[in-house]
Amino acid sequence: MAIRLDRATGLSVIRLEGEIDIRCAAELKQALLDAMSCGTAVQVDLATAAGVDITAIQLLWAAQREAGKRRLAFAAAGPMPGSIHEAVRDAGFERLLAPAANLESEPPAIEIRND
Amino acid sequence: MIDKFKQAFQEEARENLVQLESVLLELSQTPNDSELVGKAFRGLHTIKGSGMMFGFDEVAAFTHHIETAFDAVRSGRLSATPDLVNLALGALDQIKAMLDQAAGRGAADPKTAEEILAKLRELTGTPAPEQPAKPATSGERHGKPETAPAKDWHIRLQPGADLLRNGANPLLLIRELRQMGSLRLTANTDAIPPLAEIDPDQCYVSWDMVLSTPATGDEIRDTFIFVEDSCELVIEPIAGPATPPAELATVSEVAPVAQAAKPKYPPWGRRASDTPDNASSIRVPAAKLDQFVNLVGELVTVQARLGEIAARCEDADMAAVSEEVERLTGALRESSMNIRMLPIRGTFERFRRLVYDLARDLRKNVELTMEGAETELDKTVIEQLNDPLMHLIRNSMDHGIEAAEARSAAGKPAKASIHLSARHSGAQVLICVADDGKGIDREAVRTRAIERGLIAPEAQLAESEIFSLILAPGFSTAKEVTDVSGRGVGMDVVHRNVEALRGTIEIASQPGQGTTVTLRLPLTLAIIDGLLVRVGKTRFILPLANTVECVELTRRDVENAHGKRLANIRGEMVPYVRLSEYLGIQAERQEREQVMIAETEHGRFGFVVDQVLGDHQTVIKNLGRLYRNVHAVSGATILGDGTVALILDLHRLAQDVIRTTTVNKRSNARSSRPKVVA
Repeated sequence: MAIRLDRATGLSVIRLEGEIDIRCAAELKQALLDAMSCGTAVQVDLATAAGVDITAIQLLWAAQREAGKRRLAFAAAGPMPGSIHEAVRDAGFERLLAPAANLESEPPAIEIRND
Repeated sequence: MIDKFKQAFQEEARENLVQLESVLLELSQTPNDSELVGKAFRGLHTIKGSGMMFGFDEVAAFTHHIETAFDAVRSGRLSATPDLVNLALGALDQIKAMLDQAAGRGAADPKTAEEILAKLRELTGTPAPEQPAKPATSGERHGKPETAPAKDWHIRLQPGADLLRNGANPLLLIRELRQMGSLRLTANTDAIPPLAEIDPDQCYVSWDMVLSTPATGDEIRDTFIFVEDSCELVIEPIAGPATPPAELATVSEVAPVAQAAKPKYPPWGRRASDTPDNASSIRVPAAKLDQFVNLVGELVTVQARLGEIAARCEDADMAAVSEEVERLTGALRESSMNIRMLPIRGTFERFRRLVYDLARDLRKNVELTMEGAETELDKTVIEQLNDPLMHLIRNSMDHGIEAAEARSAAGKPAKASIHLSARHSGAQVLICVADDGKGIDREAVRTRAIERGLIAPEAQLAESEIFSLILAPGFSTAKEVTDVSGRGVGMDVVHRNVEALRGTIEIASQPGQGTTVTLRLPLTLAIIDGLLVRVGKTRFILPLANTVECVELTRRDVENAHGKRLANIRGEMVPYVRLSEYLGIQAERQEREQVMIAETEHGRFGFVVDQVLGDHQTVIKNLGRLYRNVHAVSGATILGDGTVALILDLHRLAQDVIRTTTVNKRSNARSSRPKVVA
């Protein structure tokens, strides 16, 4: 597992690799806080993530909600592996993946690009 | 942290395997006992569920098949035949091998697993999988016909603060529920705090679910076996027929489920707040306990020094503090020793499987009975008892118990018996292995001992001495070596292990009626209550638990005994020995001698000392190999002034004195006595 934060002008990208679970939850929280503190749009790259557990899902949810309050874009970068999609569905967080337009008062959703 | 939980899973899974083995062995006797079938199913389910949670996927996948078979037994579609029980026992061995492999010890043979599964498929009539298994439907998984009516269940799962820290994964639970039927769920996210305030290790999400399944409430509940104590869980039926799949609402439509489906029946889900205090028992690594007891041992030694200094100072305040420290140290020592005491049941239960397997291999009908399994012993003693008991049982099964024909010819019941028992006797515990077999052939043992040069042909030995010969290394009267025994190694192992525990072995046997081997072992190997005595200028410790009373012996008493070393204790003649003479210590004969009367395995016995100095908390230190053959000394301890006092083994001492007096005279008896330099 690895968590990396890449900062560029106007965009912060958090890249997640391997199993993202309780073992690296504190690290993920810090990466999300750091990304939000930049005041730029945030993208979460899950392409090389092998799995997520509820700790990762609730952190991403809280970050998405926070980004909405701050009017920051918060989206997924690139395609999402099936295993991640399944975990998010099992957890009942389908709306985490829904397009932002459907959310009305909800924070902007992570955007999925199906290449 | 995860490694810690994996370790905890390993430990719990192994405990589960031991319990499962007992359940399966009981099931082999009463195959129609539905409670046992349920226990077996739940045990397997726990191993599978917790295995999945902690990433032991292979263990979980393999166990799943065995669990499915027992689910079929539970629902009456399959019988708990001897073949199934045998197969399940083999599966438990395989699971244990998988756990060992995961722990970096040995390797589990995947072929064995495949063979077990192939036989299982044969037994259950399940076709071999041709392609990756599709997710089981509720009917398949729970062995219900697909036509069984589905019911709706409301399930509310609110993880406790520590659920994730305990290594549990709620998503796996939800996934398992999905396999039971149609599941709709809502994640309640209101409790998720702002990002900066989130404790990353805590689960803030709770779920309300509606599960449409033919499974029963108990079956749904089984899914949560491993976590129900660390979460709030409600499982309740929703009145009316199940919602057809086509009408299943989307997540947003059913939310919030909790309000939509108020319980119509009292929920039987256990809430965290209703559970008994979870901290009523905790799991502590054995190494930490050992360290704790070692530290208490050091403290006891330091306290003895403090007592010595306080006595020298003659200061009232100092004496008061020293006495208080002594009292507290004593209480601490007792508590720490109690923590290490474990019932012997776990060790006894393991032998059910051994007897079952050997009975099958040797084609003998044997029942293992137990008594006193709750008897507690120090964990170190228990750990070292496994091998001796195993060899004793193997010997009984192979040599002691006759073949069925021989038993019926001798008019004995067809079912032979091996009885394991344990009971306390003072500071010792007696463990007996008794069989109702043919007994030990005294003449055969004697002849073999003469052949091997262990005894002279003209030697006159008591019965117990003849039986003791079977403890010699390599001694065997077996005409052939079998897979089970006959190499003459087993009893030697028993002898060496019991000796290492400072225990003794007694063998009693009646021709045609059976053999009883009794192991007499100390309750603990760490710290004991002792009585500090002086002989000449040397101080010794006598274990307090053995001593009964202290009486005076005057010169007149000695004269009245007419040269016999017998003390008249309220009309009872008790033999005694002068420790100064026995140990070869120069000491002046006192006008009034002190006799410590002790309860030994040979009856009451007196030990004459010059002075009784008082009680002493005795931290036992091993003396090493040099003193291995000095049987009358069981260890040493450090006194308050830093000097060393030997701890006397009163049973062996009495035994040696009796042997010396009876045979009197066996020329080599005197040479084996220890000499202690005063």
